[in-house]
Amino acid sequence: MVNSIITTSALKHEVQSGQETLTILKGIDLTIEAGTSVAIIGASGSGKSTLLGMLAGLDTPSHGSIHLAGEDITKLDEEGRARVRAEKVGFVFQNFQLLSSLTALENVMLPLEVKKSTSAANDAKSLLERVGLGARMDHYPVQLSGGEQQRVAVARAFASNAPILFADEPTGNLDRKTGEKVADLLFELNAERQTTLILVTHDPKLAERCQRQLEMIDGVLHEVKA
Amino acid sequence: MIWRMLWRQRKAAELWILISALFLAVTTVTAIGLFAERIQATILSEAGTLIASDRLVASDGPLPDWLMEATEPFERAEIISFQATVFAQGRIQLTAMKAVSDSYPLKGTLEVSDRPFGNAEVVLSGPAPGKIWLASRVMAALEVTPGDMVQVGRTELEVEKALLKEPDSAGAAFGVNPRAMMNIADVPSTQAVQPGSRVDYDLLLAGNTAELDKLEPLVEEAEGLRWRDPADSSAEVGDALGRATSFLLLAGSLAVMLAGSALAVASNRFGSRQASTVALLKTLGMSPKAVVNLYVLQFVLLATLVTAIGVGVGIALHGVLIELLRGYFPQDIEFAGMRAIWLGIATGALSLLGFALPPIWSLRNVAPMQVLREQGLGRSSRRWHLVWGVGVMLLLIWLYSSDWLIAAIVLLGVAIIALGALVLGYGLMAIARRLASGASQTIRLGVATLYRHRHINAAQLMVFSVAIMLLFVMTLVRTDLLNTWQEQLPEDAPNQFVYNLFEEDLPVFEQWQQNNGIEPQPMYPITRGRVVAVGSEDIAARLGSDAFEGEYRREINFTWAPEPGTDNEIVAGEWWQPDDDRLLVSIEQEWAEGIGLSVGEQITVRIGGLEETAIVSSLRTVEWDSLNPNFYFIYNKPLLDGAGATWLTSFYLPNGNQTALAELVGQIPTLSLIEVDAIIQQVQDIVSRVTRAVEFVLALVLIAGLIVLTASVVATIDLRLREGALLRALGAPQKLVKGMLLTEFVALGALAGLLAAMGAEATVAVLQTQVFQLSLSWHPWLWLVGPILGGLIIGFVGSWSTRNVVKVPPLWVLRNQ
Repeated sequence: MVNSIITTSALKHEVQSGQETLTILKGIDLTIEAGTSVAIIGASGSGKSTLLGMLAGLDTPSHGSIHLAGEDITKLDEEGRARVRAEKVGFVFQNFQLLSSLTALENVMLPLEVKKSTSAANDAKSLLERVGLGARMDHYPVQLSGGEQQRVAVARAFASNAPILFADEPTGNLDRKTGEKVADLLFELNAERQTTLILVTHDPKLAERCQRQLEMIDGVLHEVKA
Repeated sequence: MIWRMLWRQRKAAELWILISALFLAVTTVTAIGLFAERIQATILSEAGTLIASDRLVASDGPLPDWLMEATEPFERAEIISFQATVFAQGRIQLTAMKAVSDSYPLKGTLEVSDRPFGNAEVVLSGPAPGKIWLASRVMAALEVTPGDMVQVGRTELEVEKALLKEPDSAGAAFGVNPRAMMNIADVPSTQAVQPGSRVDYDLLLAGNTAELDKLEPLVEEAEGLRWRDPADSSAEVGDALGRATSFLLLAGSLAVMLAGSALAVASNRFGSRQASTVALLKTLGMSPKAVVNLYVLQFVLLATLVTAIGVGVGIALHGVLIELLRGYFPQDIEFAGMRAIWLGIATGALSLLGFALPPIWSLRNVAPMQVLREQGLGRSSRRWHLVWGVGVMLLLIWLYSSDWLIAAIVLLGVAIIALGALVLGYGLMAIARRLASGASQTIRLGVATLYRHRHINAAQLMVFSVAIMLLFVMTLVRTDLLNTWQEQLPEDAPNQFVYNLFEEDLPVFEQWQQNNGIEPQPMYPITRGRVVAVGSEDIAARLGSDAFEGEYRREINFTWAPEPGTDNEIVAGEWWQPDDDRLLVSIEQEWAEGIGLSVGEQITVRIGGLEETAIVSSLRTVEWDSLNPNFYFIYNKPLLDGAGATWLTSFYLPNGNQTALAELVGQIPTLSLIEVDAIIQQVQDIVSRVTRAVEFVLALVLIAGLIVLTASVVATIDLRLREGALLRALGAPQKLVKGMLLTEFVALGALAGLLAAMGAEATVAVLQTQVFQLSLSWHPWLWLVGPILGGLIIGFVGSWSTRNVVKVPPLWVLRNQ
């Protein structure tokens, strides 16, 4: 394995729903190389988001292991996974997930502050300028349009300088034109910073821009484009 | 980071709700605590006038030197009381002489007049040396006026004033002759106080009561000394004070409970609102420990700040309360000390620990996965939140009232009603849903909403029921207390006692009653004597350890009557048959217990050198505070064939008819008269002050209750905003949405009112019998008023709090959440 940043083996996940046991992930073996961009596509309820959550260490699988940047995160407790997330992982969410009580700048500063960075304000400012929001740093999320909010979220995702970026339907809540602009920004920054991008989406056009495409069908992952 | 987080959240609504709730808790408790304690201190000090001081040492002989040294640091006054015969112009009157030092009275005032039964003038000290003040009837009997000289023992004193009222007259109800008062400096020259004569010495003390009470054990140990404080100075006032104190403590406890509920509601809302923030922070790599630290530190910082401000505002608020009541209370209200302030601080800290911390603690368990998929907080943790909260509440109430009984009763009531609310709530909501199936669309939708929100509503129903119940409890207890006090002091109760009426005076007295339209009351013959033996044993051998010897050695009034007193209750043995030939006696229960006396034993009394032995046929309880004529001993036939007996009776004389009294005393100069009016007036003064305090504290608690209700409604406003917006987006008219909300709240309020009525009835029943020593009473009207009032209040608070639901553009709501 040359330079792989994420490896899973025999990843299974089951949830209890009343009397029934639902198997959401049915044995996933996946290797993702550092610096690549990967799209995971699939129908609603096929298990895409669950897989993304597992890969990012937001949840733990029922069976199998996940190596993230060299560490087996299935063997870590929540404290340990939090540390890994702080250092290795950035996120962009479909519904932006900005804290409404914080300004754009403060939202971008948040991951830096969690890492106790001393240059949080300056780093955050330059990132916001990079995404074209230099003039709107002191605005609260409700004062920003959807596209602007997602650009703040993109800035926040890159703020911590994490090697891996997870994006869950980053353009799902935006109109086509705005979505394309946000996607441009995401891929530009990804290329600039040499990060690994893992993207969950319904949008074939967005998936097309990734180097590699995987399709989730009923808990099983299929290679679409290598 | 912590300060920054806190500062940045300054615009978050949920944070402000939490701050308000904590602020409310601390402020209410501090204000009510300070106010209640100050009122209590004031009432006690007011009661102090009943012994004309804060504490009193009664002595059989001259006050010992060690006592005088020990009491050096305090304000002091001395009284010497003895029977004294006063002579004037060939007339004689036996008086209860009170010789007082210049500093008498330490508490309260004297009322005097320039002529008998004249207009009162308030003075702050007793007569100067060489002067004497006489009760109006003594002046009438002796036919003297101010300026005349009278003889007391071997000295002559100048009559200066008619003595109308002394602060410490309440205790001296029976067995005393009319009052005369002179200066203590003149006592030696009278030579009236000789070895062997019956003289009482009192030392009056005033000052820091905590310091004073340190002397109590010393005094109680010493031979012939007795310690008295205001609370036991008069059974009646003592009871009223005890109940008032319990009420204030109860009110305070309820305030704590209501404020705690408000905080719990707000914290839960804060906790669930923060869940998504925490999930995000976690995805950004914040560890669970760091999350808890972040919030706990934020809370501690906030709590410190809010508590400090709350205590400050509480102090200011209680100042306002005192200021508002300036007219009703004496100018110099006692300062309550630091206790209430510490209590406020403890409330802040404990409330935070008990109500705010659990939801925060749960935040550590928020799954980071929640950012991808909305999911609620785990419900399992709620149970220990409840246990934890109840524990802290119990601790707070106990801290507040130092009374486990009150805390336990109220908390038990609350626990039962809370549980009942949950169970019944689910059931009743299901029934309401079925009933509503035939109703109009608005009502049907309202009830359907009610049912759809049944989990939230069951919880809210619990809060509503408990809050309304606590308010009912307060109101009912207050009403019962006031009624009891009023009943104890009926308007036309006898306000005058006459005794020393001789057989030959009776026709004159009856004629006088007729002339003045006074309704005759039972007449009791009295013979005075001492108890000497029980069976063959000397009385001294029978004294129990806690019996006060003086009670058994002094002269007692014996009477004989065919029936027991109206307020008496036979607790052992039986009242006699009229044809029983034996000499039988019925004895007051507590007196009998002091010497371990039981029915069937023989008891011997000595009257003027002759002895009479009777069989104890029954024991009776007596309500000494009823102001009816009452006796320790009632015989079934005249003692010594009635030789030397005098008569006692009571009657009601309307206020202001003092000329009739003067006329009576003129016709029967030897008669003795007690104006119970003065005593009743004193008691009523105190009761009315207590009543005002009680009503005021009740108002405060009511306000706290309303705030809880509002907080609880506001806690669900997001949900209602969203639903209202959705309905309107689907084309429902404003009227429908409004009506639906109103139906939901009114139904919820009515259910809560019904449950509250049940809970209040039960709790009040226990409180009445266990804490306030009142008789049990039911309140059937509550079952009707409860649901109506609940529906009205919750309907109003609910629709008012959700008035924006129909005003906010639907899109705005749907987009933001």
